[in-house]
Amino acid sequence: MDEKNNNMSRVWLPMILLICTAALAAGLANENRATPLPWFEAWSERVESKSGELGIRIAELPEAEQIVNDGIHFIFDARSAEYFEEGHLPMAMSLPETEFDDKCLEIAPMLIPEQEIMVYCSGADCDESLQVSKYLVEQGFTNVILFKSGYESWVEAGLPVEEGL
Amino acid sequence: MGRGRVAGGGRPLKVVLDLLAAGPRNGNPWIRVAAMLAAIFIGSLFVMAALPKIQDPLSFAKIIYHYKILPDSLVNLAAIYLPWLELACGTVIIFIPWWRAASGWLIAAMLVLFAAGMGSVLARGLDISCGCFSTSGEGETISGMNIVRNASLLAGALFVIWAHSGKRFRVTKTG
Repeated sequence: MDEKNNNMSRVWLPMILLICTAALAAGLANENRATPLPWFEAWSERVESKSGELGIRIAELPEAEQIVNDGIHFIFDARSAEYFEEGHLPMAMSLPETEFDDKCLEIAPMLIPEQEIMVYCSGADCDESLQVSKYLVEQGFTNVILFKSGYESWVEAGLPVEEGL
Repeated sequence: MGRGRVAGGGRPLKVVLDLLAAGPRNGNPWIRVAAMLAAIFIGSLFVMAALPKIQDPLSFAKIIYHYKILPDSLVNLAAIYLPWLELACGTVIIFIPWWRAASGWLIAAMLVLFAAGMGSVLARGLDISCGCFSTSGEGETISGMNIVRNASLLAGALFVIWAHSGKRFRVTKTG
């Protein structure tokens, strides 16, 4: 019986120690980050809340369709170039989040700060359009609109797409 | 070799190998070595898997969110905590032989949870990044191979646990 208890404690005690040590390390590491990740966050409302904080307006599908038809806005596709090549909104330009710095150098001279811009990515759960919108606002652009439901909703609605770069 | 006793005859490499292969119940030398190699392999994978997630918890949180399994409010908590548990278990299973059974159980539990998560993603037909060894949203997409890999690692972890617990590996000297 004692041996059985010893065997149990030989496994359970280190397990509890490991679990607690990991929790402590995780907490300390997160709190010491330059930008700690909030412990709790409503992820399904993240795009709305972050864009609200940044002053970026959200557009739904009907408005996005109107914007595309009007042809006044610059439209940026924040997905990777491969996805862009497979299909994108008409008149959209590829501006992947990961290549923002390089691409922005090419694109920025064509734009004035008041230029109306719409950004989208794959769907309501993607984050790239929020990041690109944020970078554009940081670059001084004041009229950035985020098409939240993105490319998936556009295709699902049967609206026209373009292929290639 | 028993707990706390370092054999080695003064040769540093042998001392290190004896230390890594040490354990309370592993009398059979072949099983000791096999368990040591399995522990080092699994531990290394867990450490490699943990580091990018520790560096970029936000990207890892996005990947967890895309699994659509956890409630919103637990996504960040998991993204902050899980990589550190992976790192702790991976390090301990490599370097602390006497805790291999404990870290092996935790690793096995994590592997079962991850496989269940990936199975659920496949069942729902989601096309998302695995988040196994990278936090890139365009990294390795979840497929049946991920579950097979997890099952293989689970078998390895169970072997390490088996080799480090119970009485069956005690050497019985006769004669």
